[in-house]
Amino acid sequence: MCHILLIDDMQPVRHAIAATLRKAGHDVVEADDGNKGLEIASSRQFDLVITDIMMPASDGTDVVFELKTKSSAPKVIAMSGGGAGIPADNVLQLSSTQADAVLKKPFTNDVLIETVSDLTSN
Amino acid sequence: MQGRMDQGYAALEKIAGTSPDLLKSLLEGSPDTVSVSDARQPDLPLTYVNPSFQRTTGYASEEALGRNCRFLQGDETSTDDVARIRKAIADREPIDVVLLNYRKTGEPFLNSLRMAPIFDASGDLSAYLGIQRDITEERIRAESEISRNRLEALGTASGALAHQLNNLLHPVTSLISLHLPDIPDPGIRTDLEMAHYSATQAAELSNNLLGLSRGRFEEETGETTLPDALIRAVDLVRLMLPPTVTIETGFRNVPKDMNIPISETMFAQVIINIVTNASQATKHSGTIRIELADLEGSKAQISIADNGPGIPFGLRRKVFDPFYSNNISKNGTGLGLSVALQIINKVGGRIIVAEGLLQPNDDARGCMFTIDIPTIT
Ligand SMILES: Cc1cc2nc3c(=O)[nH]c(=O)nc-3n(C[C@H](O)[C@H](O)[C@H](O)COP(=O)(O)O)c2cc1C
Ligand SMILES: Nc1ncnc2c1ncn2[C@@H]1O[C@H](COP(=O)(O)OP(=O)(O)OP(=O)(O)O)[C@@H](O)[C@H]1O
Ligand SMILES: [Mg+2]
Repeated sequence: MCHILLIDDMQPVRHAIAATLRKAGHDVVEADDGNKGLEIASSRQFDLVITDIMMPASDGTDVVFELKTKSSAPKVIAMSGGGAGIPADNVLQLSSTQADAVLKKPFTNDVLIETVSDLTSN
Repeated sequence: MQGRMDQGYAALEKIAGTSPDLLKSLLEGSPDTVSVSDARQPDLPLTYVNPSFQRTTGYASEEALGRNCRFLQGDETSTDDVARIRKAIADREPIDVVLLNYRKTGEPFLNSLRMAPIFDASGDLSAYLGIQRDITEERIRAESEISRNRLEALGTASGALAHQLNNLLHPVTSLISLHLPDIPDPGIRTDLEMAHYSATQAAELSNNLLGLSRGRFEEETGETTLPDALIRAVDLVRLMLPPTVTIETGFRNVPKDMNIPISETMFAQVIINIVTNASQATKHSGTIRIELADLEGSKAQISIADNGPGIPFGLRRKVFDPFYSNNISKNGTGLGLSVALQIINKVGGRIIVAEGLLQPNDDARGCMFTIDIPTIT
């Protein structure tokens, strides 16, 4: 079991990912924007943070950078709705190099669970 | 104004006096085409054309002199443009006009003509001066640029759309597969599996659209991987054409990654132009078959065949001429194939026209455009 913080501004997406993670036995805390996510992350220790990097309200790429500058940084999975063709192209690439893994929506539940266990096994 | 004109005349007179050959050399050496008609003779016969005139039109000066310059006009020259010139001459006004002319070989070119009445020092109309410039290449480049921008805008828009779609599709596929194992009724399971399959297909389509936005910052050069880029281009062209046209594809038995030296937007432009023509030719109700083959590992060969009326043998070269159009496409510029050919020629490839698919209820055939592009090894 891992403690996971999930940040995504789209409720149905968050719901589906959280349900998948919980069914696999993980403990999930949800946040619906980047600032709230960072606030929660500073008050508690998480093994893993999964964040969307393209939330219109708050910049998900900031979340990745912010988390990774901390000394005891958690593992980070960045999620994107497609990768290319969106205004934030290079920012997105930058944040993906900072993240430990990148998932392109829509990804399968199996890929999600595998990625989580790969990152948290050691 | 009058003063400046007098100064000009004075300067010229000085040149004429000291080095008379310089005036001739100026006209003969001018990079722009210069033509002069005698205004005092009936029907304005040409009395002088410079060497650039022959380079542009193919007519030597002895073939041109003594004739009215309308011999450059032909079948597709707009009668409105000619009427404007006629009126300007009647009104003794200068005119700028861009019109379709033909070289001696019959090849059409877009002529940017500036014409002006020339009055001698005593104010009498003595001649007409015509300055011509062949702007065909310019126009093709501009057209190519416009359709590239259109494609790029489409790419950006579809990229944004695909992003939204992916966000919406994620919960559909994820939640269905999460709960599927817990559903005991096999009938319901089958239904949900079908819903899951459809959502996955939708996601795939959305990702194909994303591919087009990928090439958007690339300039003329770039690299494109087949068959993926061809699949994406065909998906896109399907969206652009009416659903009444049938597009079949055959991309099996080709290597997974054939790389060609063209950016994806340019490549898509070629495919879109040719497939759109094929659809127009069948009045958007025929069949188009697109195939991809690997030629001896050194060339990618794409063939686009239709079951429309076909192109008569004698016209198979002509259809690539700029501005050649039979108006099957109402607001066609007749540049679609010229742009496609230019893009393909630039990378050392070629486009060939041959017989296509059998027409319905007939034993005649439509046509097939075959594109050969050298691959990068
Ligand atoms: C000096 C001069 C140059 C001309 N150059 C061209 C030309 O390059 N291309 C063209 O189509 N017409 C050209 N014209 C126009 C035609 O000669 C002609 O005036 C025009 O077709 C209108 O007359 P029309 O209706 O009797 O043919 C030129 C005319 C003059 C006087
Ligand atoms: N598949 C085809 N079957 C029959 N005729 C064709 C086919 N493709 C091209 N042609 C002919 O070639 C002409 C030139 O094609 P081109 O794409 O250059 O111009 P266009 O389609 O008329 O105009 P535009 O492409 O600018 O909209 C067409 O008008 C048509 O007469
Ligand atoms: Mg066309």
